Amino acid sequence: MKVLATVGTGRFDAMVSTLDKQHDPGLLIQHGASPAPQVNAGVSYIPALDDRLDEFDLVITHAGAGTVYAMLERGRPFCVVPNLDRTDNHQSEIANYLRREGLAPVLDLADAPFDLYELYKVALATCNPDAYPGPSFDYDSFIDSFLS
Amino acid sequence: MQDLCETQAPRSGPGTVVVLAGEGGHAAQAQRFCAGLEKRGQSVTLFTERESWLLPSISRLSKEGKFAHWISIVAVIFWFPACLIYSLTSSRFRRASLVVSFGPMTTVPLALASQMVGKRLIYIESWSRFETISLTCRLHRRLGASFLVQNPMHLGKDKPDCMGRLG
Repeated sequence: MKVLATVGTGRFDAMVSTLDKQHDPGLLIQHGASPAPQVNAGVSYIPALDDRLDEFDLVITHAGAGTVYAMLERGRPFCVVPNLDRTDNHQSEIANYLRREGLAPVLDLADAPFDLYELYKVALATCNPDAYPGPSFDYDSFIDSFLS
Repeated sequence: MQDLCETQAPRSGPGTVVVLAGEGGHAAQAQRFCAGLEKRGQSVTLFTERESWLLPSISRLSKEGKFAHWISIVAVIFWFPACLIYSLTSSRFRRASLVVSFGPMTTVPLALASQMVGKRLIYIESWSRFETISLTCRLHRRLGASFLVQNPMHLGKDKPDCMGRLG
């Protein structure tokens, strides 16, 4: 099973170090500005990540808008870990939303170690290809309001 | 950006839209926004942290720290003169009728410069905001920007315009 853990472009040391406590040959950790993993495969940045998400059976992501968006659109299994080390609280807001709407499991790092196959099964049961939340951006209204 | 999507016949519009965004989720949403406008024939110029020196990558250094916002605020003050000169001299800015910012804090100097040279400024709050608005959004509002949200939000007496989600 191929699993991607991604922390985006910033730092999320707790997520990287927690997932790196257990070895899994299929796990790739994209660690951003955090220290590289010692036990599992790691990469600091993945260019054009959106185009590569389908290569993985499961994505474990920080609760950043970019990856969460992309996974919801694909209707593919993913889990989120909100980065509570950040100075603002927007990752909690998006995690609360996903939890409330039943769109993805939200992980607590205190529950580690994780059985990745169990996580995959839970995420697979949660994901819904038709669940991507609307409404979509009203470009016509935007153009009429600001560009006409 | 023009090659990202199939274009329709251009709509008659008053100039280009300049779009400012940092990195990560900010840039992802800005790219979707640009692709959507271009699909409707609107000319767009996108500035992101990864590609433009006008948006310093200080957020990468400072955003996780205890004093992150304050470090960013001090740093963007020093960046402002360069942004002002650029916005006065760049043909891309002169042609712009609208500047749209997606944050983060590093977009503030260019946003402020564009305000000072008479461009209309709009801030689009992140899709990840459901209950509160960001410090960057509050700063843009101080600059006189109109602000739009992607999720329906009630912020006390404010009920900002919700345009729906970019995607």
